[in-house]
Amino acid sequence: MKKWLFGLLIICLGVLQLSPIGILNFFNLKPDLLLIACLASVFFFRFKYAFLISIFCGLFKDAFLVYPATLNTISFAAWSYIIFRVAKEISTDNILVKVGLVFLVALLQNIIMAVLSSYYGVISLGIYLRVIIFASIYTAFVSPLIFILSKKILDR
Amino acid sequence: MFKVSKRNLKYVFAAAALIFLIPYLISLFSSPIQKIVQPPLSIFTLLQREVRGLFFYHRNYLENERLRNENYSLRIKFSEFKELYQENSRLKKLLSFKQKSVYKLIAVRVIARAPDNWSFALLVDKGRRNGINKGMVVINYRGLVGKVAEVSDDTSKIVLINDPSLGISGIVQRSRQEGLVNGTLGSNLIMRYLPEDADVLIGDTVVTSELSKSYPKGLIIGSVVNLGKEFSGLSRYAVIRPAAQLSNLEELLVIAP
Repeated sequence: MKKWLFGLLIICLGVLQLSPIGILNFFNLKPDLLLIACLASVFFFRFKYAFLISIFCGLFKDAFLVYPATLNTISFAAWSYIIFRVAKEISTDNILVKVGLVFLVALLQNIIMAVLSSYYGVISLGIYLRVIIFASIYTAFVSPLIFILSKKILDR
Repeated sequence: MFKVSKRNLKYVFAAAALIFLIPYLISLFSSPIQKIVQPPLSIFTLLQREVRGLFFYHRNYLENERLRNENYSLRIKFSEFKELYQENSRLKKLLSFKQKSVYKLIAVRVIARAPDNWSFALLVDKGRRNGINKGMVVINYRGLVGKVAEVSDDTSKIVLINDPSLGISGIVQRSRQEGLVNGTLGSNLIMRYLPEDADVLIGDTVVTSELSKSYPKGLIIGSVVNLGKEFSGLSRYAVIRPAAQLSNLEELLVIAP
């Protein structure tokens, strides 16, 4: 039941992220809610389930992108494995540690996307930095809300 | 920490196999995921629109008044243009010119935006079944919006003109100066490869050029808001504000040739 509720939460987060009116947009940037959901699954569920959730989140995101169509599925699965290994080494009970990890992952994900985007077209350095830094901060800033929601689902 | 033991080797192989399978998985799951998400997205978008409509009732009322007046004056202008068009057609016939083909337009509604910050794309509610094909040009009442990048049976993905992957051959309407218009990931576009002595001024309108076979000639791209020199110093560039308000698109028209 909890797993199904978490799945429903992911679909809701996906719908919010895809919203055409852009209610989450802040300075033309949106947080990566599906990435947060993928990491929340690693923090709150067993790894096998979390890994499947990560692949689903990546597929969900890739299904609505034009290019590069497989990157998120691969990277989300990789992040879930890396965070699972990191969580074995350090305590992730404190919410600030979780937020820090989300920021790091979002930053690295954005850097990978920036490198790929440079292949598709010329983007100014200012825009690169704005998206890399501010989108990562925004994602980290929103993550506690999703962690609280996930915890509530688990505690039901 | 990340040492791979023999026991874990099979997982590594499984992961490698998964990576090769992913493109196939995406093509398999993409359409069902879009179909599952389409109804909640449509309801969510409808609710958002209605709430926004109620919230900005007064502003919408005033805008409606203004648009009614504008519509009235445009109708008058339109009838004048109709007269001119008919006169032009008659003259063209007299001169044995080929008649310009009339485009068929397909109205579509935006149901989703790209979920990341690195591309500008939209998902619309019509696809192959409605006659939309890859490569078709998308406009709205203000000007050029983008191009159809992917089509499924009931939905289509549209790349917007401010996506850096899209390049359009543009021409300055006043001086006929040509250049390549690209997206910047920001709200503006950039027109590159303008010669040093290019006749481009701030406020000039940029339209699609006939050099580009993918776009019909004469579609409004935007207007020049800034001019500058490329880092190499060999050419100039112009910053263009798109005519269509790309951050707030709801209804669009796909040009079917």
